[in-house]
Amino acid sequence: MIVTSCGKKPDPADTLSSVASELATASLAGRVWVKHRTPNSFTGNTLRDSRMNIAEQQNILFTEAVPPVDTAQLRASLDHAKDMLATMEKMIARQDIKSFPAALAFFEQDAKKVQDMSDSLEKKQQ
Amino acid sequence: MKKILQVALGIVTSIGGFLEIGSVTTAAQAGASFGYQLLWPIALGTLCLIFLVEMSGRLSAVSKHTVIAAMRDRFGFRFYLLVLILMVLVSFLVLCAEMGGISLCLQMSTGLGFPWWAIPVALVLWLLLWRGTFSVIENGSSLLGLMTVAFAVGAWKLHPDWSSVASGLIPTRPSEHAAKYWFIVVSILGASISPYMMYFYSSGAIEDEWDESYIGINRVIAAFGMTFGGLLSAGVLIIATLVLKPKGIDVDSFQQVALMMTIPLPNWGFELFVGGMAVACLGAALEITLAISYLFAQGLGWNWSENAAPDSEARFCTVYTLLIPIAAIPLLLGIEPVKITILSMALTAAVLPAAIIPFLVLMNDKDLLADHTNGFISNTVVVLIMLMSFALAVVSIPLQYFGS
Repeated sequence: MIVTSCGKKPDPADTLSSVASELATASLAGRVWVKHRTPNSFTGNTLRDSRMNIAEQQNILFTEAVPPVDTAQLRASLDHAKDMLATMEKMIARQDIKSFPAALAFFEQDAKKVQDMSDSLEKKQQ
Repeated sequence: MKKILQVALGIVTSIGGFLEIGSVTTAAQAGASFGYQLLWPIALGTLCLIFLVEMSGRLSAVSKHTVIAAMRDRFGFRFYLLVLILMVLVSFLVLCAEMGGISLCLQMSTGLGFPWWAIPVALVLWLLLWRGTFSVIENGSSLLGLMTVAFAVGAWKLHPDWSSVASGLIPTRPSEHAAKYWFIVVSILGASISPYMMYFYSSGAIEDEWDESYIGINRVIAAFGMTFGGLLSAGVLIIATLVLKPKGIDVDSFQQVALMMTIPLPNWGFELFVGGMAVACLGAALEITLAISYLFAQGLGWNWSENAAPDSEARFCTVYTLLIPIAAIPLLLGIEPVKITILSMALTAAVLPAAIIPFLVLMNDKDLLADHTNGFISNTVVVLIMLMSFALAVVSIPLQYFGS
């Protein structure tokens, strides 16, 4: 927040890494919810926060901090991941634990693609 | 027998008092971003806190003065005013963070957003201070806060490679993200070496009527209590290293820390985290509020004692009565408590010299402490760690926030 207000341009690698971290958090939250280790409201809120943070970071990624990766694929993965998160939130609200693992698996495919892009960008920068 | 009980209770109090939103968040951030590499600042901070807490207790037990009253007598009103302003500003931010920690725990267990909890939390905090005695506040929250032992149990259950853990105790330079690395070091030191602990502990020694016979007990409580507290902090770092780092999760919210506890402790991890942290943050919020009230009352010569009735110390009670609702405002506005925490921990490190240098002068004053003044080791350890945290804060806060 302070960095943005001071006019410093956000770093593409850091922004992408932050998005990947949000996706990984949502994935972990989904996995432990399936095992009944966390309450519905907590998991639902965590997925919603992740979805909103990803949307916020996505705006920065495609305007101020465009990373040197396949942006079309990145955009598609992020859009799909956000859709899946919204679906998973609804499943949690309905306590639909049977369909949830399949949705989570779809979501994790996109999360992995983004994580791979973030890792390869970090390696390039080193 | 009574003294053995006091030692046990004192150690429990110290463990409970050590862990709060700052130490947990910074340790989790450290583990998630740098693995075991940042265990050394936890060890250094704990070592420094052991010395400072022991000194605070010794000063009060021998001189029958609190740190604040002794500082005001020795350095005069103007200097006291400077320390008061700096410490109140930083401690106020820490109080907001702790109240935010309690509100976040309530949000996690109920689903209702943390701003909704700001007023109820402020009310409970005020009621406990208004109605409670010093020992109820000190021991009650600390005993319940022992739920945070779950961090040590969780770390143990994950079977870390202990040689790698031990290697983290040796300071090393980061291979990447240097600004972030040093900023987290500063935050960990700021979270560990909190000046409010000195003021609270020395005032507590006066409230509990310590005398010179308590010097040994004080030493045992400081050494064991803070060491166990540091071990719990290290437990958080170990769990974050083994759970969050491999998944590429960077800690920027309290939810992530709660999630990581469900891996080593599948059945009760979430509940223990939420319950333990709520009580730990409540204990810390009570201690900080009292420390700020002591800062005003002892320096300005007002009546003060948490054991006395509010009508006999109206100005002391007015301080916390005003302070608590003001601290709730940032939370009501929806400012993320973890952001306040990170900022407040780094600022704490930056203002440490203002609190510690005059304290060290007092601790070497023969008029106050007679034969119980500091030795060479105490002075050296505290000066070195304090100067290091100050230097790192001056360099890393701008680096982190404005970019290098």
